[in-house]
Amino acid sequence: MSFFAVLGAIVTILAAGFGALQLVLPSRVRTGFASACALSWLFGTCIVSALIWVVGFVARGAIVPTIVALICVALPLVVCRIKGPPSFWWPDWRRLRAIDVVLASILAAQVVIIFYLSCVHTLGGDGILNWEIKARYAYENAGVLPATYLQDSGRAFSHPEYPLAIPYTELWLYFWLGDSNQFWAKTIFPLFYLAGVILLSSIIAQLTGKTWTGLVGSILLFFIPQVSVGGGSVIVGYADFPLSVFYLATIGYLIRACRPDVDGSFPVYGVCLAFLPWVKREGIVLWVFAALCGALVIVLRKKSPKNLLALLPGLSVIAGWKLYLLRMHAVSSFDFSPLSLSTLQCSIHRLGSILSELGSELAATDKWSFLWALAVIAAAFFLRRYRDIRASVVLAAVIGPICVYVLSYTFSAWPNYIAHLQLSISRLLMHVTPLVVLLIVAALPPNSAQVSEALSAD
Amino acid sequence: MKISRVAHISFWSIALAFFFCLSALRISRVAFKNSIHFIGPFHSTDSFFFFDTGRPNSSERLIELFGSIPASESVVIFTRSDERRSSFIGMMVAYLAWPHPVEIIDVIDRSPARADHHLETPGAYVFCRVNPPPSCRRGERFGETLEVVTAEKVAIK
Repeated sequence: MSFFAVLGAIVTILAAGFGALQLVLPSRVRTGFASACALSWLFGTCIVSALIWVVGFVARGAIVPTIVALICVALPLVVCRIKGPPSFWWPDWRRLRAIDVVLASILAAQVVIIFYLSCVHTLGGDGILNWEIKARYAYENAGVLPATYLQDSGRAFSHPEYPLAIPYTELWLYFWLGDSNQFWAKTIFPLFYLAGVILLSSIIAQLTGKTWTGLVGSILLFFIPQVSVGGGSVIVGYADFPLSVFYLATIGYLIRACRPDVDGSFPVYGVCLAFLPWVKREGIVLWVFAALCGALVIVLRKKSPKNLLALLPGLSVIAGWKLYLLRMHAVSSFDFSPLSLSTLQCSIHRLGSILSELGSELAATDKWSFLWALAVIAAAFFLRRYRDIRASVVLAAVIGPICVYVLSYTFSAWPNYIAHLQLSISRLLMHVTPLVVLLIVAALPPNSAQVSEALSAD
Repeated sequence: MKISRVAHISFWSIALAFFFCLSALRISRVAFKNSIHFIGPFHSTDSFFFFDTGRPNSSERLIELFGSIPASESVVIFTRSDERRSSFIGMMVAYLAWPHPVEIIDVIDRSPARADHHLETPGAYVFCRVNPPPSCRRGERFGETLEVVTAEKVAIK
């Protein structure tokens, strides 16, 4: 029975996301069915969580899930009625090569393993104490996060100030289950993995023009221990992997939007961009870099300045959440000192040890295998192959957040800032990991001519 | 041209082979050592408490205990920062103690984790890998490492 309840929750999330996707895509654009499902999942989780939060201002109890469910079902129906039925393209199975079938089978097996691992592992410490805690407390408080929790300094360790995309997606499952349940709450994370590998395959395949590279990229993702089994990995219920999938979609669709012959990518970029700060607080850092990359693409590709409006929804999310926290007098954890020049001056000496620790982290083969070494080599290939704005976008999107994260530890309020770094840096690096995989795999095909010419055509 | 193509393919094949082999070893070591157990509403917290105390279904028992004291009364949790598991279990207890206000006190530096709030009357004291003072009557024990003493059982000498 619980299985069907969870299935109902997932289907409604997909329905809401699908409606939103159709709404933002131009009518004439055909999307791949798998990519549409993956994007529907990403959009759906954020729409459902945001709806629960907003409806919670005016209603409580059973009315909250009822209204949200009605919107989830109505949205795709209304959009299809207005814009006509959606148009998908499907892979031509007869034209698939044997290597593609073999790689796709390996990928499918990996996804099954991730689902299995998610079942046998518990939620991690932060999975319970930062994320599931909010879902549980909101469920017990008629679907609304209690103000007393937000103001409870005794529970400041659980970061009451973190945004609600992940906990309220778990809360949506609880509404359907009729009870809070730590086991079923985990089911959303393998779905983020599935969405991630679909998007990674599709983005890489479109970038390189080869299906096999996309599949190799997705297979490679599983073989990064930090992603598949590490602390903060897909299977322990942290927000970092979902955030990395949103970031991949944001940058991936921005790269697509660089091509003049691809339509409908920029609106998808805009929506994913807006959702970044709603998934995790660090999403603001990713939002800044993705927005800068977007602005760069608009200027250099001579797109209409109207496209800059895509930055507004994300700004609204950041401002809205901040305002809400201020209004609720929410407590914050004291992990970082306030940003100021004097603090920076006092703690800039930390930078040497921080960089040294970062080096050790990147070289930790038990977490990353040779990912970062390969990334450095692949970056050279990538720059040679894509001598256009796409190289700048991908490299800025990878290097920029890492620099900010590293610099942030100079403001660490922990007595032992190295312990702070050691505890959290792996998870922060995960945010850019799918993009690093893209960087590596895009360097794999030996024939470079066709891709380097793709943009210079117009 | 042909040589560079062969070199390119060889380099990436070898690099990826090393990558996959190294990761596969690590992943297989970590991945398949667990099996499904404690499927239930407290799947994860029960597992953590079982690992620490050896007692099953601790989450429900703790919630039951906290349910027996008025919601306005606080729960004071004693932990020790020199033992990572103690702080972790302390936070898990705080998670389950909702809707009671909680205060986590580190007995090593003798200070509450956050000292800028005023707690309600304590309704229960929880000792996570910390020995209760001799003045306390014996409370509800969860294995050797966790003990909950309700306020009425605390006898002040």
